[in-house]
Amino acid sequence: MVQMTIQVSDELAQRCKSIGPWLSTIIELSLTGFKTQAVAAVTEIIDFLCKNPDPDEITDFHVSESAQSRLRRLLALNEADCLSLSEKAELDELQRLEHIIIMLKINAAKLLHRE
Amino acid sequence: MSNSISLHLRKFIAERSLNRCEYCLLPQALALHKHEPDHIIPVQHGGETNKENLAFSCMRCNRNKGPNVGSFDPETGKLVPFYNPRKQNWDEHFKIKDAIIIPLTPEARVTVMIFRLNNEDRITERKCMKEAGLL
Ligand SMILES: [Zn+2]
Repeated sequence: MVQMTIQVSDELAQRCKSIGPWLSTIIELSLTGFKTQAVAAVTEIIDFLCKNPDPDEITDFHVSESAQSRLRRLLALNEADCLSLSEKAELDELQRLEHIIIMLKINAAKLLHRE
Repeated sequence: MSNSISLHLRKFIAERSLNRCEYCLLPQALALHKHEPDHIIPVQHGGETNKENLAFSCMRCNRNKGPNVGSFDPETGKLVPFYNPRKQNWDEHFKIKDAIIIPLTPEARVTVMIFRLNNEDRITERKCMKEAGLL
């Protein structure tokens, strides 16, 4: 882990303060450059993290029912070997996203243990 | 996509697995997407949508398995089916050492290989899970 110091406006500093522990995930999600329909799930997650959730709310978090049914549909197409190239790219991005959030959840679980 | 799975059956599949992926053991609670029931034998190969042919699976195991039922054992070159959670015991086919899932049988070897159970992301996660006392 590296500690970073950056200069931001007072308003932004105020906002960042409240989402402190989740800020690095928000930055990572913003910089990963999601290009497919997976962006919908990314937006959901960023909206959720910006509400400054408690660690236990993080560990309880899953994507919305509409994002889950989108995944279900993609997995069914995948099982039938019928995915288009863009759908394959979408699954790749969702896997990337899955990893980022698993790491976030593990960190949230660590914070909970420490309490 | 006519093979929809009833809510009742989904609940049964999740509970039977103790809410973990039956291949990589990832707890559903740590995942972003909820785990889904996966056809062990895909529908297009004649697999049915019932308790005996469904396994609770994380999105990555599900995705990597895809339309396959097995692969060529990297050690013998023989065609081998994947590990079957309905007919086999995880502990007899795999063990975890230093965050790596080690296959003990031919079925486990093709499963580790095709499901990419030891890719970089997954090993990183297991190491952190271990540190956090979650594994
Ligand atoms: Zn899995």
